[in-house]
Amino acid sequence: MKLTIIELLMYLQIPVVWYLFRRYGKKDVSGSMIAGFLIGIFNEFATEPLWDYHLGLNIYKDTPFAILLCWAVMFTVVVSLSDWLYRTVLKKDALDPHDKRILLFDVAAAVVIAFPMETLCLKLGIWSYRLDKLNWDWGNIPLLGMPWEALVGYCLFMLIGPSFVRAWETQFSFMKIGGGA
Amino acid sequence: MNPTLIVLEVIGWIQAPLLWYLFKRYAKRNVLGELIAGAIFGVFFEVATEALWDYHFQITFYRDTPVGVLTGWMVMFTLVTFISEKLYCRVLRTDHIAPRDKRIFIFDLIAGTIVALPMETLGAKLGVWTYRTDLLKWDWNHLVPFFHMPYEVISGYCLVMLIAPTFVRYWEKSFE
Repeated sequence: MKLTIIELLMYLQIPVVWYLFRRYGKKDVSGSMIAGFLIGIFNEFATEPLWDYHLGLNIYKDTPFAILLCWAVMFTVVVSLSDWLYRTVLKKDALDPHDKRILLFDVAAAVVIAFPMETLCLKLGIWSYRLDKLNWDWGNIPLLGMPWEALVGYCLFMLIGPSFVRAWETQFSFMKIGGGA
Repeated sequence: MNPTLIVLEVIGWIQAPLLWYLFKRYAKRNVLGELIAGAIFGVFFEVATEALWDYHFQITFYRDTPVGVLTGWMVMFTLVTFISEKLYCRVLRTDHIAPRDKRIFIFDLIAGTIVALPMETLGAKLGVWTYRTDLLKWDWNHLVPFFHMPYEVISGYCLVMLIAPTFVRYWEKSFE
């Protein structure tokens, strides 16, 4: 029952997040979401044997469609937070899309947004790690109890994914307003 | 140790600087940025999927993942982006890629198949790596004609080629 409600929320998050960005950020994030969704397809297909999912509606083996929606939201939020951190810390009005320092902020945003999302979903039982296959042996992060390898994996992923989102968010956008590096 | 693998590992080490030199010499193009971006993607991919393949080279950077394979990603993405751009310009009769033209995805997939499938096949057949089929549980039960590789491999590459060439193009100039 708990997982059914969570799965429903995972579907709802797409229109809710889109609306919140539209309403309060004056930004159409449909393009970011589509780009994040595509990255999610790639990542889930490539790593499918390494996790067990426990939701209902699956698209490839045990990978739920709702997980792809989570990637869409995660990349949207990570890119927005990273852009904001970049502008705030470097005291700039706009993002220089090819400034290499943005990679640092992408990784920082991953630690702030993506990893807590990962931790929450794991603890809620949405998925479990196939530790028998992963053979992770770096130990756990204090307090969070999450494997260090998961955090490092996210940091590496966030070196790649946000650039793809920035490159395509405007082109993928339904409304062609706001956004776009 | 298998002498074939020693030779292949040496090639693995020299292939990236050799490719850089060949592009510089014959195409008047500095591909250092492409090589670096390809390496970053390679590190991410290999760390993320480390458990799914066994490598048989000696010098490794993460568990059994060899440096010689990382240089393979560098070479692969440099060639894929180059060939994709050439195909795009030839087919669409233009001299440069229009920014944010989504049609580039089609050419990335074609170039990815042309470059990556033979490289992957060669690496697997020569014993550079073996698939952990006990973990992967690939079950489409069909092989790509001529290459005799599982269709899951080519599907995975197609998805990689949707994402990675954009990353390479995005950063190639900045990384030079």
